[in-house]
Amino acid sequence: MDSVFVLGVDSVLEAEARIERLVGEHQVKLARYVRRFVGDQELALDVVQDVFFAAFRMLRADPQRPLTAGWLYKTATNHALTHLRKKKRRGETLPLEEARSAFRLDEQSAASLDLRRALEALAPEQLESVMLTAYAGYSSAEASLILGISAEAVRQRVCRAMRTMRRTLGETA
Amino acid sequence: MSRDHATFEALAGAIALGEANADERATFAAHAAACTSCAEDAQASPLERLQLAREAESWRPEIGAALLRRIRESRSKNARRTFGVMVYAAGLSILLNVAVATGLAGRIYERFQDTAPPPVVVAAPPAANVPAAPATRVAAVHRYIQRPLTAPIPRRSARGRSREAGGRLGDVPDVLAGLVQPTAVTAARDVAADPLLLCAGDVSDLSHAACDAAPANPH
Repeated sequence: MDSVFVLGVDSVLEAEARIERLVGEHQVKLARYVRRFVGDQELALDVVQDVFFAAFRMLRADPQRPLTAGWLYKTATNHALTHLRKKKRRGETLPLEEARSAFRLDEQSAASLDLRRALEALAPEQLESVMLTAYAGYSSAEASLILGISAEAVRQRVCRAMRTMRRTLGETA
Repeated sequence: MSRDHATFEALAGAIALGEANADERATFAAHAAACTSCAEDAQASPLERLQLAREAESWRPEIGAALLRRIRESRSKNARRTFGVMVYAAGLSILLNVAVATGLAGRIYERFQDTAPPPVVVAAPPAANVPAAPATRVAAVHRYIQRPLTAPIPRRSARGRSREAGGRLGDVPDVLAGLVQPTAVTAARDVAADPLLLCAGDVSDLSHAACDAAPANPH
């Protein structure tokens, strides 16, 4: 019944097919990226699902629209930052035990938790630059296109983020 | 922070990301030798730990099934909403057609008009310096016409006052107060002379004859 009353059935099916391909290609990398960003596995899954659903709605409106991995990372970054800001506004701090549960047993080393603390200490604009370049593997020029700033600004933010991380890791060492 | 220093910060970031060439590395090394804060940036980058952590990740989530379920739920929800809107529009259309065809709409409209609150009438403020209208003559004519012709018309005294009314008709103009026992000729003459004279219900046949005789009277 559902396809009878929905206009543009072909476009919906086409969008579904494209989304399935995108999910198959990017879901693992994107979910890991978001989990490293927000530090919560369930939240990361929700965010990634929201990102792909937003992509589906966009493709349903315009099936011919080019949709790149950069768009997915940009949307995921924005969603993740929104969640982080909400968490910070509510004053939530994740206990160490719960932070451990967000990662698998083989990833719950002290070094990994130190890294988590170092990332939490970063300002949002530094975090997104570091995650896009050092973690997702984009160059500073590609990250600048995703974030809408200059490549030099991305490199500066990475440098300042390194200073903050070095300080935090030095304190915890 | 100076603009030069910001440039070296960007250079340090490029070196950490592996995007700097040999010349840029040499330039930064020369600057870091003299700058203490930039010398720190030349040390081992903490980004390497992040890259190592990425390579050590083994989590393989699967969201495809959940996403497709969500997409299909959204589609069925949209379809239900569209179907509901269409049913509602069809029902409303039928209702309106029936209402118009049976005249129900007109009756409802009239009832609505009846139950509407009365319009608010705001009294105009009294005019300050408007002179009173000269209604004396009209009042006298009205009184004259309503009086039966058989009744005696009060005579005017020598001083212009009525003997019978004791001055009540003091404002009657002379031309009307002097009419005594009118005949057909005098009544017709009066009506023809003054178009303001109107026939009242109790006026005798004599007066009607006078009205008929006067061509200019708007009877």
